[in-house]
Amino acid sequence: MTHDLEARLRATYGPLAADSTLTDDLARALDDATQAPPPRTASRILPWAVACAATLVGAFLLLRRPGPSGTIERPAHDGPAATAFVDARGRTTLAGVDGRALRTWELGVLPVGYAIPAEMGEVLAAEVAPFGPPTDAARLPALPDVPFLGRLFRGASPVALIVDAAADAPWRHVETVLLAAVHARMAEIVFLDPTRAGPPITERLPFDAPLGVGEDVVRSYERLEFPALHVQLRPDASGAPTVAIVRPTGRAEFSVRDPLALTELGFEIAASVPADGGLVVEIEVAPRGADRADLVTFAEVLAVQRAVHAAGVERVHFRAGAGRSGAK
Amino acid sequence: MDALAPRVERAQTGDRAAFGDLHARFARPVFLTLVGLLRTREDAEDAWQVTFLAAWRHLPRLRRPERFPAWLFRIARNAAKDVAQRRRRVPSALPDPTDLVAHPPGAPTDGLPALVAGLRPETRALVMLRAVEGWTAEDVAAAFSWSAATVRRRYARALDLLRTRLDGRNPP
Repeated sequence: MTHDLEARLRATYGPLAADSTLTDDLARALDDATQAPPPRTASRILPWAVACAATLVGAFLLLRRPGPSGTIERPAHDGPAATAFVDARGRTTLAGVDGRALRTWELGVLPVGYAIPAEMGEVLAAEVAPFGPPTDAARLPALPDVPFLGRLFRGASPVALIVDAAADAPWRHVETVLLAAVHARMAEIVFLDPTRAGPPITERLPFDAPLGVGEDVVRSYERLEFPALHVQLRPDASGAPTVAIVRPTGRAEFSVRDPLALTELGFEIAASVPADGGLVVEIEVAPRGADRADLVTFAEVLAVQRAVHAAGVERVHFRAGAGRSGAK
Repeated sequence: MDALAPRVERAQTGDRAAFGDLHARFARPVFLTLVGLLRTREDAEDAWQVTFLAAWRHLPRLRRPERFPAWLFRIARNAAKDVAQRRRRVPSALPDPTDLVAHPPGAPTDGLPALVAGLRPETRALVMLRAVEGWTAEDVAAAFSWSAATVRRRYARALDLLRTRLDGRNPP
């Protein structure tokens, strides 16, 4: 059957051919036509050369690791105490207060695809601020997770992070950003006061200890030689945040929203500072097993942080709450 | 497709006799392919001339001479596309006497051409090369940049379709 059909097709269309006069026309046209010159070697190599050069330039930009650019005098204006800005060349600079001087760190030209760190100060504010109300857990997945942010930060090789969070941002969201900073091995974290009324708080991360995300963060703090005082923040039964100093001998609780209680907290901590001044306060928000952790806001943690520093403690570390150290 | 490359290489250096050999070898297969794609003699001949002129002009830029058939048939298919776009024929209910697929000159009136005309253009071109020109599946695969298995599958399906429709028209 197949052969029969093929034979019929051959019989039907076999005689088809181009007109012989057309073949003659084509032969004449070919005689007159000239061939295009063969491509030059340069035109074959050029695209590869351009691609290689672009790769080398990209690798150079990626491998450049800019460091601190020095100290400059703090300008006399009353603008924000710390900020991030991008110049016309795409170079990002983080600026933070260090004593009476404004320290700046150049982050270098950021590779394409890492646009978020290029506006780090603003983006972190944007990432942290819009989440709420605090119990709106359904929105949490929209917040980038720790490894993602960590990779993002590392791409910019920053040395410090400015946290510009809204006062009512859940601490859980701020903590994600902090853990990402640790993940990216930043040296300092600068907390901006959301009311812009107080000076920023700078925390130095323990760079000398092996750092990581999750349990390693906690362990690295425990390896420090300084005695540590453990402070817990958690909402009480009415939802109001309460801070507690946890000692083997017992707990002492204070209301975070009461300025007088925070002063008492400061006295309590000051009494624990040894003569050589070496004390680390570990602040843990929503300890293991606690629920309603999202009710603790950035402003409340910042208030405790200020009280701790006012008591003469230089080093504050944030201890990751249970189940919140990794990706969300 | 034996020993094509040396001839292609000679033609690339301007050897008209070598290109003449290539033309003699591929003129009819290209023409049948264009008939399959475009159907009318006028369009197929236009595209056929354009194909060989373009092939001669741009042959020095062909980097892999052993891929000449694929390169030539790609030119032919592009030329067919250009001609078809230029013509933009108005569809007509009347039969087109210049349609070589539906009305091949001297063909028996057994209904087969009408069925072939109903195939898709690429399938018609495939049928022309395999059934009419007698090319192997490997030859067609090299020309159309398909796999040989694809050529066999599409050809078998086309023959099945034609056979089924022929049987429907001529019940036993």
